Amino acid sequence: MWNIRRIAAKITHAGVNDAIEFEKQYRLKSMNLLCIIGILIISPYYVIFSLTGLWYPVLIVFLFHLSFLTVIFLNYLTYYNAGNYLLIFGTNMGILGMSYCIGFDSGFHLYFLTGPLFIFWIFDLDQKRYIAYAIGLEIFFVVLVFLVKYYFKPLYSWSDVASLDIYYLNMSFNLFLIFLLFYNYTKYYQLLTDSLVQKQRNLEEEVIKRIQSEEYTNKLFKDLSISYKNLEQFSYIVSHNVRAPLSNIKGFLSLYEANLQAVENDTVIESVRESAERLDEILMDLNVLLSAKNLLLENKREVNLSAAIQNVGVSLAAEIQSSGATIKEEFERDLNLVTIKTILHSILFNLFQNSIRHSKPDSRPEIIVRAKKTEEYTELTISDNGIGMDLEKYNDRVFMLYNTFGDNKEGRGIGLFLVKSNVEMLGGRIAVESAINVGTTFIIQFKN
Amino acid sequence: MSTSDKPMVFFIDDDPLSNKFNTMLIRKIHPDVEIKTFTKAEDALADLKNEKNQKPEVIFLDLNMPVMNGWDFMAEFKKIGLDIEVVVLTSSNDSSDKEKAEKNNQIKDYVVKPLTKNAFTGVVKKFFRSKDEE
Repeated sequence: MWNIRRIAAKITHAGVNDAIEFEKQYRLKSMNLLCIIGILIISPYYVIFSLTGLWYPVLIVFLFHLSFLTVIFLNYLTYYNAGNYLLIFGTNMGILGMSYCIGFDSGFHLYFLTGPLFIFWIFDLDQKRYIAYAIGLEIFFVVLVFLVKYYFKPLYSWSDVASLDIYYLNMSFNLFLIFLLFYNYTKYYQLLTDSLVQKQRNLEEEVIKRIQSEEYTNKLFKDLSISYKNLEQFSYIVSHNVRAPLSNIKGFLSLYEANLQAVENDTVIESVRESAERLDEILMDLNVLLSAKNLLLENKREVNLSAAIQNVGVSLAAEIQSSGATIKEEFERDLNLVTIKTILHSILFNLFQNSIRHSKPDSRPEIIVRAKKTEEYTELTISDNGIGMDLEKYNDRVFMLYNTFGDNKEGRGIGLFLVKSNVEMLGGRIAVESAINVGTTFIIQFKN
Repeated sequence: MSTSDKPMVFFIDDDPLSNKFNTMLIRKIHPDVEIKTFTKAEDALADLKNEKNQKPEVIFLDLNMPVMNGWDFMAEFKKIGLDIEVVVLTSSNDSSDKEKAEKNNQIKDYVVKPLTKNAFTGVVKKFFRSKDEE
């Protein structure tokens, strides 16, 4: 059994390949389909015109067939534009001839029905001149039909044809045929667009997936580099800071072995004890630094900045009272941050403590906290009126571990290191501005 | 002029305990050596710049110090143009510090703390004769 649908589909696909754009593929298919419809519709006219003995129209019907088949063949050979113009030219010639044979009125009807449609079957729509050619051809033939109408008498009258019963029968058959073909084709086209939409959707999903995986990789890389940095920092602390008191202990003990004088031995023992305490301190600092990383496991939530500052004030109550420090809030009362509460607390705590400890001996420490929210960032500015630092000299060492500037015995050089590491844990940035004897300002930016 | 005949060494280290130990050690093995300790590299620099002061034969320098660290000191020290041997004495066994010290031609040696009698003798052999060798 012949699968007619399949054969029709095969013919419709003449010349269609993946090398041409989808839209053009569609136009090509419609062109082929038009030819098939044309061939099928006019086939019965062989019988109709033969029975009435109108032999010229039979010839014209044959020419119609010939041009339709040639169009499909040209498309098959990938001469799409040639097929395109032949279709326009052939059908126009056919209509002109038919008009001459059986009356101009029917010719006109055909024109106004089909003429504008041809524009839609132009293969190379992006080439504006091809459209112009096609429209030109159409106009040319319309004028030609006018001329024929005024200067020639038709060979036969349309009533000769229309009077036959078989003509009506054929008209109903044609209508059914057109319906069938268009029904199939629209279904087919729906399927095609569906698959295209699906393809597009898949592509979008793929793109989203890749972006997500890239984001994931970036985050992983960032986490990894933070971990690596931490590890580097840890190994630095061990090699520099842990080793220092240990080597002191080793050294003093070597003196103890060699020296038997009781007085000096006392000094040695005292020094060893001091070194051991220092070592203990460093190990505790290390513990603080390392356990700070675990804070990241906490969830982010809305924290009121003013409330957070009040809390830090409570934690620092003793130092604030003894130094007479004031903390001023210069921002909207209801300013909230989405952050990890404990980490924010640690940042503010260390910065406030830093300001209080590095205040000028002759004046009370004043800390001013400003905050502003932009679309991208929330910026905290913490300024004090302390002794300040010479940033030109020590810019790269402000946030380094165990780097203290000035003679202050209280500071051990861990606070700012912790602040920086905390800010970075929250994905923020910190910068410092300072002038000696004027004060220090820390600027922290968190991404919203 | 406060120059004495005794040879002199500098210890520049921010850790007072370390200075204390070094002093005790040198006193024991070379009682005739003058020792000056600084917890701040700036102070040592100021001392060296003062022409009246006796110049040390060797400077023991710690690297990891706040404010002015060992490398900062070396940069400033180079400007003074004194021909004094510098020995790095640090608790850091970090290889990058070691490499950096090797590249600096003013640094004659790299000693990891604690300083020992042998290490000190090895470093300063050409300046002092050890008590044991007498």
